[in-house]
Amino acid sequence: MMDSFTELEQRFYPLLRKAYQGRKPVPVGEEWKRSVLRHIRSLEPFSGQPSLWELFGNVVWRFAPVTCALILMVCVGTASIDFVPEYEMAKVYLDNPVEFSLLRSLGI
Amino acid sequence: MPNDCSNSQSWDSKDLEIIHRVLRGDVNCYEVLLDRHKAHVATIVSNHVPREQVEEVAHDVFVNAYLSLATFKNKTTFRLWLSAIAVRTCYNYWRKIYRSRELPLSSLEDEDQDWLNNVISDQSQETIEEDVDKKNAQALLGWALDQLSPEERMVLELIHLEGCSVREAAALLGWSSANVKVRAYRSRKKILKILQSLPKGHGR
Repeated sequence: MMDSFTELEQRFYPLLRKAYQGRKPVPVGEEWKRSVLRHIRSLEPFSGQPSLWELFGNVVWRFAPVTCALILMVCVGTASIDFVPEYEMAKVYLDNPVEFSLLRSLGI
Repeated sequence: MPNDCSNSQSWDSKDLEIIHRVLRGDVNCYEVLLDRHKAHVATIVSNHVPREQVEEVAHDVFVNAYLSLATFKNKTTFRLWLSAIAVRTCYNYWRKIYRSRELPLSSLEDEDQDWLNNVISDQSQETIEEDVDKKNAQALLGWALDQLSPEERMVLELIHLEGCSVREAAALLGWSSANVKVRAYRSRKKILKILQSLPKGHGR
């Protein structure tokens, strides 16, 4: 019996490679070709212009690095100023419990 | 009925011209691309999927290529671009199969397992090379590949069995080179582990 991986590898890989390379390609016939063309003709023709969704996708992905950088900056900023929204809300509420209004607390 | 689409010189420039015509709405021209590249696509697909599925997957390759034709940039040849689509379609085929388990995994017959036991026993390399029985080896290969994940399977086939470089495999699969390298290493180890454990009675 073989113990080492290397020995096993040396013995098996040539066999596997030979078996793999011995696979014969399956010929595709005329009927197959007709069915592909039938399928393609049944699809909508190219409009020539990229769709609105494609344009949107192209534009959106250009902003991905900037968005990541902004998210990172906001995270770092939030961590460094020690801002906890729950505490801040509670503080606002405790300071003015009677006339508390979320809009007023935001200065609107 | 290949028509007047076939009248320029080199294959690459001819392909490009046909692509432009198809994109302008002359769908019939696609037949020329189909005729020219169907054997190449069938060869790629035959290497990666079971024989009885080759026609269906090759069909999907040409439909996918048609749908993505507008994204073809003239940075590479159409043949190479189509090869990448063919490899990715084969990968998607295996992902679908592994998810739904539509097809039973190939099993290893007693005869194949006996053959494997002979190979793994202490014979000299020369004797084994002489004894290679294609049918048994292919049954073993099919069985061993069925034990791998679709990712491991594709990487192992491309790198260790076809001899593609990491870069080529990465380009064909659309993955990073680092990803391909890691998967190639893991799949190599995994398949050897599978083969090593087999003679202890794990044949199915």
